[in-house]
Amino acid sequence: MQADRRRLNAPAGGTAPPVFAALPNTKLQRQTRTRKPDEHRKLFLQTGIVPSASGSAYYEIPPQSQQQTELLVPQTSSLKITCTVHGPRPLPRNAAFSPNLLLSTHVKFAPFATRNRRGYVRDASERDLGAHLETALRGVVIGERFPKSGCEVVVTVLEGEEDGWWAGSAEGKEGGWGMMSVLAGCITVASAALVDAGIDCVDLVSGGVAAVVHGAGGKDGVLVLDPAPSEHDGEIRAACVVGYLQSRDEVTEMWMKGDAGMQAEQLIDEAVKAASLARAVLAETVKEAAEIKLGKGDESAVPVNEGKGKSKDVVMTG
Amino acid sequence: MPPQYSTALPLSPAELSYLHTSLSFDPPIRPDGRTATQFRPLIAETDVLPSANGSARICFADGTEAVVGVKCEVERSPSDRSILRSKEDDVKRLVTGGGDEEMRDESSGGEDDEVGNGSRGRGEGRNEWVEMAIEIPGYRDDDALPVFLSAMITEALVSDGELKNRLYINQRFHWRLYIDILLLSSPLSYPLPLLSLTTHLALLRTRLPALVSEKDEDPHFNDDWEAATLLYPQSDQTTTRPPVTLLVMSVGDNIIFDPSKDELAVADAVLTVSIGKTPSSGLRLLSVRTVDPPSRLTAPGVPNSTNSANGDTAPPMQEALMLREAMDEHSLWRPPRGGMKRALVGRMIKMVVDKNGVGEEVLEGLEGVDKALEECITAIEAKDTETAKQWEQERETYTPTTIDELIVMLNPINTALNGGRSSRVWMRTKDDVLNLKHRVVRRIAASDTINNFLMDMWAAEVHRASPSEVWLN
Repeated sequence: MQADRRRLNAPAGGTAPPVFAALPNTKLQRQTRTRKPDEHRKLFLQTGIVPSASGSAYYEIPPQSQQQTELLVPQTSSLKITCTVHGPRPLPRNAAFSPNLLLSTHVKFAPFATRNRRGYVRDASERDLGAHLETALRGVVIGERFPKSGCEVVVTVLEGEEDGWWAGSAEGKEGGWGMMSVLAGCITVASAALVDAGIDCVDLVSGGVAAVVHGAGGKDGVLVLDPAPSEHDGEIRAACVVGYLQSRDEVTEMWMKGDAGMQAEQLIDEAVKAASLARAVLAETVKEAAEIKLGKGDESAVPVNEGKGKSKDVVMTG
Repeated sequence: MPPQYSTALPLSPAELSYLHTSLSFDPPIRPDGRTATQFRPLIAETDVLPSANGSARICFADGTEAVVGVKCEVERSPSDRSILRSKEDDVKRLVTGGGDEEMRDESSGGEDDEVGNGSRGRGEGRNEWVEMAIEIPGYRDDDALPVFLSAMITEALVSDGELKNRLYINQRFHWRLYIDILLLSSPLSYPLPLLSLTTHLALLRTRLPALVSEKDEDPHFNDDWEAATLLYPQSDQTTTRPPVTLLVMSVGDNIIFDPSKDELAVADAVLTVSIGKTPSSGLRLLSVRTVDPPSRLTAPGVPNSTNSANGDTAPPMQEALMLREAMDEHSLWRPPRGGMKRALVGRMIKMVVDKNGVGEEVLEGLEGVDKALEECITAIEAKDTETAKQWEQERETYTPTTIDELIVMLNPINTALNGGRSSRVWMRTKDDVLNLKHRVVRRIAASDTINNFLMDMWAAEVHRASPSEVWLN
């Protein structure tokens, strides 16, 4: 292939992040799950972060505990997702008449989001996530009130959940379980952004993920909520993501992968539980944002100089 | 996104409301009179592509047609480029090199493996060795529909973890499986069940050349295609089969299988369920995904009270909106809102996976296709003219209205071309050949709920007439 002489190119052989050699007697230990099976990790959710968009939200699952090691490599990944909603805006003149709101969702991993660099071009897995997200949101948006309009939901994953333990075997990373946690986060953050944009919705949709993990010695798998795939390296047998509407008890989106056996229905129930827990945070965030918008925040004793984004922790209740 | 040149007229709110109401009755009244679990007849052909490792073609009753070709190529496995290799330590080695996957399971891999031995226990294969490409006329490669379908079918294929292990040759080489799915007709209805069934049949007949080299040397294969092994071996101990994906929809409380395009247009919820067979000959669920029902894109009906065509003036928009919201769902069409009830999801999955459920029926029917091909080939090899005559007679007395079966069309000429078997058993005179039209019709008894009638195969028959001329001298 001819060298491209018009630009300053990257090194021809590709680049890789620096890898530091470990001391010979370093023991690498995989972090195991210390939470209870029905306990969700702490979430952070805030709306209104992008002032130029109609609505926006930021979702984060921060690393739960700092593991002390001598390695410079970060042990666990966290999940950071940001979403902007542009719309409803009129369709271009030459577009066909559409009696409903045309929702278009785009999910993109930032190139630095995963341990192995992803490219700028959207690949098949990101388009697949976009299709799932659209299914989840289409059920909740009342499209018939916005004819001839389009709405664009753009989700950027700044740091994605890993598929397995970074130092584990390649087999442990098969299955793509990290994508399911990312999808659950995308559903929640898109829902917050839609509310921030003021688009008519039937209910708040929240995303929840649950998994069937190989039990210790037993044949029956253990059902866990909010699995972190790096904690269950290669042990996840099946997982399920749902987009759940709590007040109507309906599921707009469901994606189940793997062999759940007899526990398929229980797996769905666990995922719904996870979604309900996430909804508590979502509802609180949306309420705070509404209060600030309506000006009630100024009258009450919320000190402005405490800093943006400082809010009380919400206890997640089912 | 629909293709640009789609000329299908959207259904009006009155038509949608009519379809929805008739499907919500108990039992549901479907436009073509089928029962809720009845499938439409189809024509299935295997080994249609002589240069592919496996191939199949299925035509559905509504005119949609798909061809799948499976090709395998030997590929070099990337070597382990680790910089620190220590056999004694437990330290995981970190791999350098841009974009490379993480290290191979040398030290971590199954507990029974020796460190640094290079032998692999479980987890020999990688899921990336299966590559799928779906071609749907009118859609680009990166449009939502082909990507979603491809992800769904690949997911089901690699979910049991066994296929990839059969693609492993030795430490340096592996098979790369290319599955190319072509939808030959324009996508009149959601093409997933068609594509998935065709892939299932193609994979069932896929054969890999037999390996004659040993261990880690450069792979050499037996030139004789007869010695080729099936990718999905059919032994008595293991019934491994490729998965099948079914489309299930619900309207109200009714659950309907194999929906046609009109029925999908009024669905409240649509689910795709992928199922596979376990070694203990039970069914297992491989993946479930919800599909956005196209009914959400339809226009809501205009109630008479707000319709200005009656001569009155239309109320302002806010009022019209409130009037529409207050109207009863059943009297006026409105696109569905919200999702599906959890109990309904559970019921749908149960109906597919249960013993003697729909899933088992479909898999049995497809098994019948396979068995029929085997019998035809054995008959040709045994030069069994008796069976041939019997089949010919059966074909003469074949009347469309009295038959209740799944029809399988096999092409002995093609199998002969593939396997080098002589097809002269069937050809006595040129007239015989042209009358028989190179077909073997094999009756397969199916269960009550698969109910078919004979399809018109004129187009296919005209197609076949010319290759046959070549074989006659």
